[in-house]
Amino acid sequence: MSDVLRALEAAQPPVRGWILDERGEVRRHINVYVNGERARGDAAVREGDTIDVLPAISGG
Amino acid sequence: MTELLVGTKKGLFVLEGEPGGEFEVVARAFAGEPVDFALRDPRSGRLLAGVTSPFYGPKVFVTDDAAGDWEQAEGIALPEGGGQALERIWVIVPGERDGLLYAGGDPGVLFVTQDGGASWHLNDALWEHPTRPRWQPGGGGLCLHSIVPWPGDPDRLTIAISAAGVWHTADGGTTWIRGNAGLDPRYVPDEGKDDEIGLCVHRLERAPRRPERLFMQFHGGVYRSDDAGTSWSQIGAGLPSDFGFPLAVDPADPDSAYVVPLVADMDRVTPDGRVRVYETRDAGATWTARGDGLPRRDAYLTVLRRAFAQLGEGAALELYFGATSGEVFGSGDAGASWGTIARRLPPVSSVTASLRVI
Repeated sequence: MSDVLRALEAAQPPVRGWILDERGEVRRHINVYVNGERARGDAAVREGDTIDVLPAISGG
Repeated sequence: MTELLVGTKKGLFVLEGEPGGEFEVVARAFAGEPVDFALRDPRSGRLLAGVTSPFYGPKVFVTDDAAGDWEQAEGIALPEGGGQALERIWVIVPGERDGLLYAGGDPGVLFVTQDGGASWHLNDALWEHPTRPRWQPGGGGLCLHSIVPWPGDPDRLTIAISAAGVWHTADGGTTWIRGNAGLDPRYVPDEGKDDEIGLCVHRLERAPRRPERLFMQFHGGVYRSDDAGTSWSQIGAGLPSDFGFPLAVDPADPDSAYVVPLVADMDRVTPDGRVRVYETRDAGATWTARGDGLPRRDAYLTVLRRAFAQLGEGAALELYFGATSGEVFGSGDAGASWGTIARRLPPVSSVTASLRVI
């Protein structure tokens, strides 16, 4: 999954730094889903899968 | 007309008004997002803001119009794959050359731009300093919060990091040396005090007309240096407390400094329920309370390190500070009298002031 997000950054440079931080980790308050299931960076992704990137609207 | 840029937990607020008079909010930007610092570069007129979205991380944005579109600056990030991420931008300061500005951030990093803020690069010498693995973060993180250029010399710079102490460069950031002699971290056991670790500087300012003189608010202790920040002497006697965060100077008077004491590190509110700024005009030998017009009772405020700004100098020195209560206070007469110029903003992180010619 993280490889897909890196590819997205390469294709759309303004996205760089907004989802993944410099360590390559998904930012703390962003959740990524693969086919509706919350996923970690090492989750497998196949052609045709759907990835949703959602900020968790949390805070005080 | 004076313009204030007030960074808050819920966006940037632009206030305008006359010194000593009423101010009003004329623009808001980054609604809902924490704005840690914002500055109008007096040379270009451009605005720069450090914004730390809880979702998308810290960025710097620039614009010519606070109410218009802001463009994201390039290069505000740590090296990829290095195991660390940028946490926050704490301060942005113009340098001593057109287009040159600095940004300080957490984890103890310095960014430099030569083009007025559109593109930045990390200062490698500080990032790769061999002592870095031993630097300790303060309660606000490993924040590089103070950047004080040497007037007229773009290669000479002093910075302060909480809690990694004071650093100087004389070669444009190629090499850095420490300047901590005399600092007494009371919160460190005696046997560890010589280690120069955990030196929690809260704010540093230079006297521009006598640049070898600096003033410092430390984590317990107010200090002065007369040797360009090589060594430090305590000047906090006479204050109700020598704990606090912000510090300002009158650029016209190298013997001047202003602080906002808080009770102590374990109780970070204004003492006795009163809000008072303390002023010295004799380089710290004596301090005078300046509270005319500030809340006198039931006021337990916290004023953060970048939430105190000055504009102008001498008898017309303007002073402005904001509190985490959402109030902003101002003086147009060097602290002799004060007014409340905003009452119900979100918690205030930073205040900067600039002259606006209409």
